[in-house]
Amino acid sequence: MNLSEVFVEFLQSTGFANITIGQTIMLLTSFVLLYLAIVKEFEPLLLVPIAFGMLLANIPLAGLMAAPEDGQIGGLLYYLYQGVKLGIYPPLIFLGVGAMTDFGPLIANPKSILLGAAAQVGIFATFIGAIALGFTAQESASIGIIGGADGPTALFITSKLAPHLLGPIAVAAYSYMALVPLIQPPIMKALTTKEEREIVMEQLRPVTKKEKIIFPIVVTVLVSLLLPSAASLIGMLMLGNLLRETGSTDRLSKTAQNELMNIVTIFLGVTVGATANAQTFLSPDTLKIIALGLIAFSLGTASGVLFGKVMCKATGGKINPLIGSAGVSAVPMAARVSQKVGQEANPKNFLLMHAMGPNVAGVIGSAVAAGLLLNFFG
Amino acid sequence: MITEISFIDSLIVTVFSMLVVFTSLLVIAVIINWIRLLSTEDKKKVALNVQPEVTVTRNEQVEVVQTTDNSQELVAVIAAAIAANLGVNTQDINIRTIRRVSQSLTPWSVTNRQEQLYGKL
Repeated sequence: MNLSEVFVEFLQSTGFANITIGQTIMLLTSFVLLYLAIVKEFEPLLLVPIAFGMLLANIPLAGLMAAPEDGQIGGLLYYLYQGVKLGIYPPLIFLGVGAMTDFGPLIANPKSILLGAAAQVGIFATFIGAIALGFTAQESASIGIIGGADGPTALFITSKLAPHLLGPIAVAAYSYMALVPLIQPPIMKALTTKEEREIVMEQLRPVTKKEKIIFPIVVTVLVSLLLPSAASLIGMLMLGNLLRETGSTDRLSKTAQNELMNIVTIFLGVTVGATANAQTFLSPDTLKIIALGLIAFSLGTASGVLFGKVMCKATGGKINPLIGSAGVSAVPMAARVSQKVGQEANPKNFLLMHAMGPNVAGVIGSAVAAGLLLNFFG
Repeated sequence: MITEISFIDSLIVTVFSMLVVFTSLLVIAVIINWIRLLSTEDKKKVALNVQPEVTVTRNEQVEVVQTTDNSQELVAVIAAAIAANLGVNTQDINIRTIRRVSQSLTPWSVTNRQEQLYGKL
């Protein structure tokens, strides 16, 4: 063995010598996503881990997502990915989301829950569109759920129904959630008149602690009995909320919404990003998924606003239709968009808390929709 | 497991699913109303038990704050706070009534308005 042979062997064992065009494109894609997350601040808490996972999974020969084989242990990300594959991480994220969510506005104005239901039209309309484009029922259900604007739910469904699409669906779902302030306002303005946008809603009533404590328990029992397949998502969401509202479990609530949520977010983001390898990601289906995701989001927003208009008429003009768009989940971004668009029309308008009702109802609505899709196609 | 479904089947799934989503959320809305009624009844009971007011007399200041409970400590704290704020002794002020004022704005609304205001500064 001479020095030149060692040098050549070394060169041949490096990633530089083994990288494929597909992997190069995926690395560049991950750079773009990192740029969007860090510089443009598009959902950076999730997009940074996702983009970095994508980067790691496309390093040639590193085998971070390799399954154990012939007595060899698998790659680091393969083991972390089991939390996604087994449906563990999304419900844990929901636990944290529940601990951070105030259902007070929804309890104060129960009618607003219907706006959260209406916005789920986007999920099913896109499901139909995906079927028409030739996707299987499982793939279509996973693509449609992007319209729920609820990352953990989308990943939960996809990991169970179409795990090979996790990468494109995660990227589409979180990108569009970050783009809510750009996607929603034109649709909201196109579907409402200036007079409707100017409607000032009545002040919400104060909600008692008792109501806030009973609410998560009742919702868990009701939804879980109706749709057992949604029990893990709704159950964890409501457990988190109960921890927040009891007043005697502050430590658990804080852990759920901070440390636990952050840890799970890192694992979830990195491993979901790592599923986006060149073979699965660089296909025409990815483009279709990204296009369908945008349609899902837009239809969800539109159906929420249109149902808001119906409720506006039905209540004699007491409901501002703009809060309907918040029914697509994306908490609290979608509610902020309702506030912003409302305030553009009428600077004295404060819709934020009114929009939080449909917003959190959208989380429940998309979990119910997810349970239904799992029931049909799981 | 069903993998291939027709376009018509997907329409049926959609209509059925939306009905279930609406119905289940509607039921939740109805239950929320029941919880509210339950809570309102409790409030009425509490209201019946409310003791009428602590009165204190006055020299020059009349403060109207308030309470629905009879905590003497709370009264003492309020009296001390008013006295400290006015820079006088507690004996020199007369507090006639202390009533709890219902909060018309939620802390969320207050925070939001403050953010709006600060955003304009």
